[in-house]
Amino acid sequence: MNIYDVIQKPLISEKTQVEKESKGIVAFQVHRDANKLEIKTAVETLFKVEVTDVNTINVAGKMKRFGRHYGKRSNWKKAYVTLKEGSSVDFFEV
Amino acid sequence: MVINVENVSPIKKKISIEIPTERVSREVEKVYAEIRRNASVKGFRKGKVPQPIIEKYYSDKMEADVLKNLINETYMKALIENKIVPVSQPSFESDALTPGQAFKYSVTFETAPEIELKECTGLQVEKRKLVSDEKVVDGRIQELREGMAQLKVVEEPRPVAMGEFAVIDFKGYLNGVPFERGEMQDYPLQLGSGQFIPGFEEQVVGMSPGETREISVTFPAEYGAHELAGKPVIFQVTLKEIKEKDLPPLDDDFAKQFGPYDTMDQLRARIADVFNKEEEQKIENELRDRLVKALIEKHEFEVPEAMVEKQLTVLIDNMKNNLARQNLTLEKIGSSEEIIRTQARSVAVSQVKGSLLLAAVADKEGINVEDAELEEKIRDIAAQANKDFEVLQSFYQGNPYAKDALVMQLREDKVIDYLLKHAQVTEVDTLSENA
Repeated sequence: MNIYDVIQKPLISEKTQVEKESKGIVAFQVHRDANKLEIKTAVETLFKVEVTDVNTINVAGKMKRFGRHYGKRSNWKKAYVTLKEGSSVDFFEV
Repeated sequence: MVINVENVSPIKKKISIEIPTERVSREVEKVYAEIRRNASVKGFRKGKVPQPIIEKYYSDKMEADVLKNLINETYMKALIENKIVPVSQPSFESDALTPGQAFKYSVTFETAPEIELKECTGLQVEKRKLVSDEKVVDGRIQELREGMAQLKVVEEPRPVAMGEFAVIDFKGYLNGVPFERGEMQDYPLQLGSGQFIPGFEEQVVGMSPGETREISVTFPAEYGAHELAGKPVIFQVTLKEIKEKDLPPLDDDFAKQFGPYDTMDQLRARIADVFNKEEEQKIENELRDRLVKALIEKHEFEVPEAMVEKQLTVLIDNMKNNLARQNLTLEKIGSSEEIIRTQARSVAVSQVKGSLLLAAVADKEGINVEDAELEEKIRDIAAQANKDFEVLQSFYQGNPYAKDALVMQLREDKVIDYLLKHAQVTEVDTLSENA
């Protein structure tokens, strides 16, 4: 899989911000078919950092209703990437 | 803070201000603190957004706010410290704001010129002599007489003449067919009044009562009804009777109809009186105008563009209001704001010059308007406009702009009085053109 397709967007929230500052973990929304190895190489090449660990989770899309129409948001994959101590990623400069 | 005032021209000033680094940083922090409290970024609760993210999302807003705060504060301070009153919108020029560096900016604006007053006593002005004109009085009485005239039927049969009223029946034919609204009965038409289409009235002249005539006329090309415009038509006209104006005799009875006058002489005296008063007022206004003009001519200085523009706007607004009262607009009288702006420019310039000079004289001579005078003036206005003094008084109290304008006007009047007292007034029959 092309590394540019692996990482879809960074997740920036209060929670990820705390993780990033205390443990050096950054979070991304990634391609649903990407595996941990692919994510690792993608982050390492794109952000020029060293990755020590990757945890992933499949997030089920929520059921949403609009009037009498039902719909489902897409499932997606979230990845928590632990960076080697001393490396960091600044999402706004990429 | 470094403030540097520079005179670009007599009516233009440039202020350069440099704000030290720590003052800038303090302001930046203050603004960020304010932004943080209300910033909403997705993924964060309100007020919980970390500083780096705020800086990334809101640096534009920060810069604008900081600039606004700093300039507001320092600009006003600079004006007050240097006692400068700008008369135009200031135009700002500044470098980009970088936190952690001193901030420099400059402002340019127009100010009222400093006027060096020359000798302003002993101005030479001409004053027109009051001439009571019997002809005007006669004309006025003739008007009154016409107004009271009644129509009287002429009994003896004779041809109708121009200026008389012809009571007619008429019916119009277009190509031999009667057309709509072309028929009228017992219509009193004053011949020569131009009420009807051209040619009609002339052809009625000379008819005798009871006579019927065919009149052929052509409707003017720009006539209101399209089907008739420009078409030749024939009117069948019957003259029923002739009426003429019966002017009332100019005797004491006539005078009594216009109020508490017992004799014709009293009425005449009254009309002459009104006329004289109007003339006096006119002469007084002319004198004042000329005095200000003489004052302007003694002094030469530049006038700020902004003040002229403002005066022009006032002039045009007045003009528009006057026209609106007659249901007209500038466009309807074949003009436009731009045309008047160029035409009235010199008037506006001299008005601005006049008021600047008068203000300067007032300052020099210590002429001021007392509260009591203001109150008296308001009483005057109230009496003239038939309004309650209290109502007007509270209007002026609650409306500082209107009050200032009134005070300015009073002050100018007082200055003119002062100048007049010290001027050399020569009475002449007719004013010379270039005074």
